[in-house]
Amino acid sequence: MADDKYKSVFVSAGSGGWGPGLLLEPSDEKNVVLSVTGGGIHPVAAKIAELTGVQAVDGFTTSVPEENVLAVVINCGGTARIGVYPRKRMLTIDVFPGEPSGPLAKYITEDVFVSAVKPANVVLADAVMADAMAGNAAMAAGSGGPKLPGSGGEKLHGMSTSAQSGQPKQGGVMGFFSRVTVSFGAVVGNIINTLLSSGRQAIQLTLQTILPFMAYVSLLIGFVTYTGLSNWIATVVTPLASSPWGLILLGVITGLPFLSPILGPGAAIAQVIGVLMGTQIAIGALPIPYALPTLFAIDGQVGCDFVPVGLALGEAKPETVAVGVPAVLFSRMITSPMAVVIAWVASFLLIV
Amino acid sequence: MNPYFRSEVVSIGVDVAEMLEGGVAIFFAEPCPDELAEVSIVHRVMDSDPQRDPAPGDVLRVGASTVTLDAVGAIAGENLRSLGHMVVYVNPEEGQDPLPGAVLATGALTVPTIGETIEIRSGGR
Amino acid sequence: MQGLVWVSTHFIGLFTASGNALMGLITGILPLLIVLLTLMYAITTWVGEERMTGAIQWSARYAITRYTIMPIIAVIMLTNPACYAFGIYLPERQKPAFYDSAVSFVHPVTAFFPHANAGEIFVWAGVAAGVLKAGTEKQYATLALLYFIVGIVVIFIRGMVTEWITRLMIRRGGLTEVFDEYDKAFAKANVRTPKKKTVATAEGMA
Repeated sequence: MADDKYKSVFVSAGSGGWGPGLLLEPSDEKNVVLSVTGGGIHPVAAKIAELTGVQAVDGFTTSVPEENVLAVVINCGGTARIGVYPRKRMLTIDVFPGEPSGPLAKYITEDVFVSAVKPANVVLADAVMADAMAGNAAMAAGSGGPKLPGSGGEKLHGMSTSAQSGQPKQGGVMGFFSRVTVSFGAVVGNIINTLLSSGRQAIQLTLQTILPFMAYVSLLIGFVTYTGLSNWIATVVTPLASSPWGLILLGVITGLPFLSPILGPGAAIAQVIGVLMGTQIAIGALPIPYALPTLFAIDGQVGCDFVPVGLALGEAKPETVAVGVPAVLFSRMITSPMAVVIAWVASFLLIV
Repeated sequence: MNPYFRSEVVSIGVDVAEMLEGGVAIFFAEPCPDELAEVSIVHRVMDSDPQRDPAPGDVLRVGASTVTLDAVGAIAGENLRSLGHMVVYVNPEEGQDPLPGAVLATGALTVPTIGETIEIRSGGR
Repeated sequence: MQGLVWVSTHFIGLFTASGNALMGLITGILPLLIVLLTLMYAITTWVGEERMTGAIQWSARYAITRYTIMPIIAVIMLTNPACYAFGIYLPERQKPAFYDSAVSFVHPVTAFFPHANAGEIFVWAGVAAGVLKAGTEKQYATLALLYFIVGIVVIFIRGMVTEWITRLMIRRGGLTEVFDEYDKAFAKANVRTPKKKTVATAEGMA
């Protein structure tokens, strides 16, 4: 490269890839990107070499001392190369969408490994900073609707100057614009990808957890309403739930040390009662403000079945568990009714 | 039946025995970077049919030991053609899908000695 | 025959009622939940784990943040039940109180962050669905806000009360020395002085 120093690049995972990305900082010592892909220099290695100014070398034909290797580009199907280089703590870039697997999986950590990388995932590190700003600009401009040309243009201009400063000189106006477009696109793409995968997570959760529970609750509600059992429950629970004293009593009951671990598991009972209370509120049998103290009254037992496990998750010692379980249970006798009282007071804000 | 792939073991990485104990054998053809040679059985391809990729039912012979291939990953064939690279999971757990670059096999693989032959041929019948 | 008709009528009737209930839940609360979940997952991705752990460790030092900010962040970012793992940043004698505080937040949190405890959202969503039907949207929003805020007040009180009762239990169980040892080990493991101070403050508040 023309300049005497090297440039850092950021390599992010492509779609379907693994890892938050790697920052490659070349130096006089680390000045080779190794392409262990077969068939010569892989385009990703070539792109890294082009942007950083280091040399790209085919690892199968040329031997390079480990300490001179900035990063290794591999096209691994999941066992050998994917683990060998991370094991040596060499920065490893898989062009396939691999993730930790095989006998060396434990070495494949996100600080040394990134996958599904395409040439477009390799960007100058300086540009990444600008990208972050551009990302905000893009969001702002996007939400701004009609204002887009003005405000978006300004921000774009600001970003491009900083992006350019980090670029090797090439391409003039055309190169300048294509870089702006590419890095801009990468950021927007990144935001969209995150949202998309979040959406995927949300749908997965909906399918696996929420909908099954809805089905079960619906069957229960259907049974309860159709048989008239709900009226019966309503006549029992509603008087309890329709006066502050009744609710506090409910809070006392759910907080009872011997009852609460039974009521607890999966919050199943609290959830069913929650839905039942909801139906009572919906038909007007319970005033809306009572929803708030109700929420706390039916939940006095929350987590009481789970104390030992929860404490174990926090790596508590056996003695801590021994004192912690009764401490939580006794504490509930006080705090469960207290919570109802606080909620009842706060519920006056709901009347407005 | 004649083997469609034949090669000669040229070096055995220091970690090969350990990997084999864990049920994984890694092959790479010469030339091969040192880092990979450490975990691999490195070999020199003597004869191979570029038209023929490994398929389930094929028999892999490494020195004195043989295994039968049960499943072949999506890019295992390409790996073998371009790099002489193959990853064999021996007697994996039931119902496992092969990683893209791997093949699953049953039988017993032992560490070969340098100079021994590696062969892949179509299964018996 | 009449008997069979009776059975089949009620059989169908039961499932019609159940189906209606399911339809009500799916059209009522589910769409809102899905988009909310999507955004929250995205935000947690953007904020990142490291930044969050830093905030948690900071908040572990002071009683007022230990039973408010610490469980809130833990529950929102790590969700139920992984959130309890943050107990590791606390001395042994405060672990039960932190657990109590965190676990008491896993339902109020669902008012705005359903992803944090999606398996148990119906404690909130069940009641809230009724409010949404009978009341105004503003009342629904107010209820969500109040549930969240009162939740915070309650977990703080719960944390303080449980910490106090834990201390009583330690004393009554004759475990004072054991826990003193644990405190020392904890202080040694966390060389940073502020951590040590936490223990002192907690003692002082008795």
